[in-house]
Amino acid sequence: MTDPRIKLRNPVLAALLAFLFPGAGHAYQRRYFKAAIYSVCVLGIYFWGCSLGEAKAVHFRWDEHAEDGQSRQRTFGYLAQVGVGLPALPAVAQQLRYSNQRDAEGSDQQRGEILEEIDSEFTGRLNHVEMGHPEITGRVSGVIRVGDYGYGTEFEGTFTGQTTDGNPLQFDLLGSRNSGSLQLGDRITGLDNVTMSELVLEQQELDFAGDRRRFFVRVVDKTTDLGMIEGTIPRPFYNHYLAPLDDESLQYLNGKLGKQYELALVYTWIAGLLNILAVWDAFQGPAYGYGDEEPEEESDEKSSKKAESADADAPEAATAAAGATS
Amino acid sequence: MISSLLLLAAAQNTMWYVLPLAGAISLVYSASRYELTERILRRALRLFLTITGFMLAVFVILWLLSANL
Repeated sequence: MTDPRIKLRNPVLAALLAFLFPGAGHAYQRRYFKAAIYSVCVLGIYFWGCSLGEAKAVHFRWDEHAEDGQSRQRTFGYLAQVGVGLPALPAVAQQLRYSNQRDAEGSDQQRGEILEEIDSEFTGRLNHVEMGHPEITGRVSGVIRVGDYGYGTEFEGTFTGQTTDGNPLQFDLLGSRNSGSLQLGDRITGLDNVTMSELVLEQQELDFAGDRRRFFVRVVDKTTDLGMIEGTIPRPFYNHYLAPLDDESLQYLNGKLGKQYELALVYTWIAGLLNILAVWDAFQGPAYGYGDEEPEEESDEKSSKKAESADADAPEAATAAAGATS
Repeated sequence: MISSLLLLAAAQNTMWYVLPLAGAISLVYSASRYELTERILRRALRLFLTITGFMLAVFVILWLLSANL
């Protein structure tokens, strides 16, 4: 039974608040010291773990079956991480969005994915283009705008920008995913391989990013093929924050961070599990009582005194018993 | 002996990540057991020392066992 000095107010509401935001349930119950402990410890450990894992330690993926070339992933660790509440809950929504995206890819229906995002800044490389100039091959930056047709698996648009030397550029773009002339990174993913083919040849080093999305498309003059541009466009925060990771990204993270990634997982798991204790405390009160019922030192002293008195009584009892027998 | 232990501990820098984790676990666990601030803090300190002491003992045993490897 909960100590009457502890006012739990509405325990269900307090437990819900404690789950959603560590410490909030106890603040609602006006148990501010505990609120501070839970909030600082649980959130501190959780966000430190997130930082160690470069914000990729918390993600939820629950595959029904293995996809082509991918293993079937089920992140059981998230079941511990979700104990932290609101900071980890967006991963559930991201998993739903991610699996919907994969279903759409399977049926070649990606309506809106191009129109929605590809009207944005682009940085990358331009290869083999002649537009009345000598061949231009090199770094470019600018803006990609979608044209009349930009949904499904097709893309038609324009690029307006400049080379690193400041030479202005403008040309048309045309690509189709089915023919391979349009390559787009996943719309929703935690981390994506954005390595440009030249970089692979020059550095043999893969490049991954959460906030950038791979974009490769043909450069055309009307319908004549002039070359291609390859680079990245921004991926909005809501499309990579706590989003699931594919096998390649996980391998990259483990290779890059090593033990640090394992530590990040452990930190975030433990943070979530610790908050379960806090939720129960908000709902039911402290497990052992208020804490002043029988201080440990006093009880220790009492028991030692009892033991001493028992020892002192023992010789007298022994002599009395001996006298009785004689 | 002590200096070589410290050197080994410094080399195993991931071990230091245990300390804040043990501190947080001790505080949260103790807070979920009692309500009285002083009791929580005292129990948390004791639990923290128990955890770190146990881990240190395991570390020393493993280190001694692997001394000649």
